[in-house]
Amino acid sequence: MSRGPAILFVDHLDSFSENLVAALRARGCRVDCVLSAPSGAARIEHGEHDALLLSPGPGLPHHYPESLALLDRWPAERPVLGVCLGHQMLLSRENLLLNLVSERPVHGRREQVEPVECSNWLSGLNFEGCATFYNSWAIDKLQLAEKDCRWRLNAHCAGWAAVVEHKFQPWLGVQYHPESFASEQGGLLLNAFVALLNSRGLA
Amino acid sequence: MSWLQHMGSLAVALEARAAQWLCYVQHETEPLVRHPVERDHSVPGGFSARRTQSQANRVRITFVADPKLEQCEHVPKEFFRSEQENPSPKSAWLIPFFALDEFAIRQNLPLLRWSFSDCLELEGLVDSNEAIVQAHGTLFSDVTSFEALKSLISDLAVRAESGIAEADCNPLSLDFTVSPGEAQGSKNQLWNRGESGDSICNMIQNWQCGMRDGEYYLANATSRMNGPTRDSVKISLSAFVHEWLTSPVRQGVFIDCGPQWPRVCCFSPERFVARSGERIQTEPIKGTVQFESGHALEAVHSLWSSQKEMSEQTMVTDLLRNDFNKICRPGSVLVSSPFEIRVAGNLLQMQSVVEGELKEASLSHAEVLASLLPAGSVTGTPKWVVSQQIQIKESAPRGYYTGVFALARSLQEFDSTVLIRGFFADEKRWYAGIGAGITTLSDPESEVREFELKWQSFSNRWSRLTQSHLKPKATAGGSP
Repeated sequence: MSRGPAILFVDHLDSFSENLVAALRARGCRVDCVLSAPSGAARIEHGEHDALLLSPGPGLPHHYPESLALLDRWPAERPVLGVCLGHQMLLSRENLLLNLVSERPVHGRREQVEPVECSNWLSGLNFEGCATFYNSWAIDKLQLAEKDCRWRLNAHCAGWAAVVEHKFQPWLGVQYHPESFASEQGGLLLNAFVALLNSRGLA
Repeated sequence: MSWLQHMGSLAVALEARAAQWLCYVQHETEPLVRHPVERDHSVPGGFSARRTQSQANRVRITFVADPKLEQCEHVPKEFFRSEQENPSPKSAWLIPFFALDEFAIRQNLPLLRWSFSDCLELEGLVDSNEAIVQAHGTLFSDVTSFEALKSLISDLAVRAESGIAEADCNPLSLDFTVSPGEAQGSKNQLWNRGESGDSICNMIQNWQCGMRDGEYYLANATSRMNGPTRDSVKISLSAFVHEWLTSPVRQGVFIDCGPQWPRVCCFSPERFVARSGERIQTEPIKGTVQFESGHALEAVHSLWSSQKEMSEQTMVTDLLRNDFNKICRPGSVLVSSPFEIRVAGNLLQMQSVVEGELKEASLSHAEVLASLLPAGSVTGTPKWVVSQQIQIKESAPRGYYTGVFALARSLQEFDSTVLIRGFFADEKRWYAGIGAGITTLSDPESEVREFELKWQSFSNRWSRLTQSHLKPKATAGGSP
């Protein structure tokens, strides 16, 4: 039996979720998947999972009330990684606003990510490189510069928040798809996230 | 002389032996050019140099005579479940496009599976003068070697000259000529668009509305072409083989299994999934451009420098990786050749090769196919949402167009084809389909032109396929 970290994976019916699940399993994690559908009304229960992963998916954060409700109940000290839609969920809870990235957002675009600040939680990452984006919506990085914002900007892409983290708890959001085959640093980011989980298990 | 040049004659020689035929042609070629991408092994499923053994320019032709229908089922779930309980090592599958189970039922088109024992397989390099021949079943017991096969064809020619055989051809050559006079069904031969260019434009714009808001990112939009009545046209096995030889593509599918079952005559550039033991491989296509001879490299660079084409191909590759990851060992799914370019007639197509290792070698073909259908390249992302939208947005059912044909030679091995660039017949008429990938960057009018381009790229096959008879060129007097 694998003794790797246990991850609760909330799937928002995306066609890239299995790539993330496989990437985590390949790194020794045990992954339990639950579905969070826009029309669903069931409460998502979490057990003694070491971390929560909020998947990418179509639509907007408020289309998935179950996932947002789960975040409200999730213990602050346990790590969370939100990818694309999941990243937007984390920030929309802080009342940060989502904007269309352009009138014709290009899905599957590869863009250069620019590092801003090192991570407190993930070690050994500089966040630089090309990454694959599938989003229509994003958060303007300036919103994170507000004085009382509890989130830190680690990297941006053309002025949009690309990688963010909570200043006081190990919660992280990434707007691009680290699991895409065309994201240069994606594998390193996932390595660092799993390393974070493993180090907490040892402590 | 290449062994392939005997194949037209062979098909004529075989035709009389059985009433029903399946034929599958697989052409393994190297891509025109691979993308000079930098590989990064830290990426999950990142690019990898690992690639299955090169199959440079090899052709395999499988003739299946009088297959036995094992299954005819309108509900995909039921179809795949009962196949698992009763698999046959040698089997062929014809699966219509279905987005979801209920969609398949509404279309009222069955998923079909045949088993077979009588089949003849020929395999060899394109420019070799000999092929490996494997005959199974009693029907082909006289064809034990390539030499035996040649004498079979010669024998046919002798009989033709003496006026015994009805079908005839110039032995050992491809010198078919088309008999003068009209093609069959000429009165009813025109193909009609199922909908106008304006209406296709509207459909594309409709797709794009939801994309802007992030409801979906990529959709394969299609439109139907209506052809002549089924009975007005006959397409023989030899006409199919001859047409493939005239203008080869990666995969050819011919199905003529009785009047109550669908007909298929397809020249597809797209492999769906190939399985060999626990390894599976897929090659999704997105990105098409026309090219003129001598200007292929310019066309290649126009594909690679197009943000639209590159992002579409990235999306479909990530989608197929996702589907593979449902049934593959974590970490085993790799993109072995991203953004490679292949030639398909007068078109260049961009594709990526995705490979994976099944979680369990004991997975049945049915389990593998059921997890991967419908094909990612003919639906979109997110697949579930786009599949629902296809039912709403497309005005005509796709039928077997964008469905899948698969041929299994054993419980460990199958290959399969996405049924595009083909002609299909239901109980009444022939039909075809054309489509294109739609993203926010699509210009509806140029997408309509791409529909047109794709139609032109294979519609000229129709008149050649339906010419009444193929006659020997030199020995025209020998025909009765």
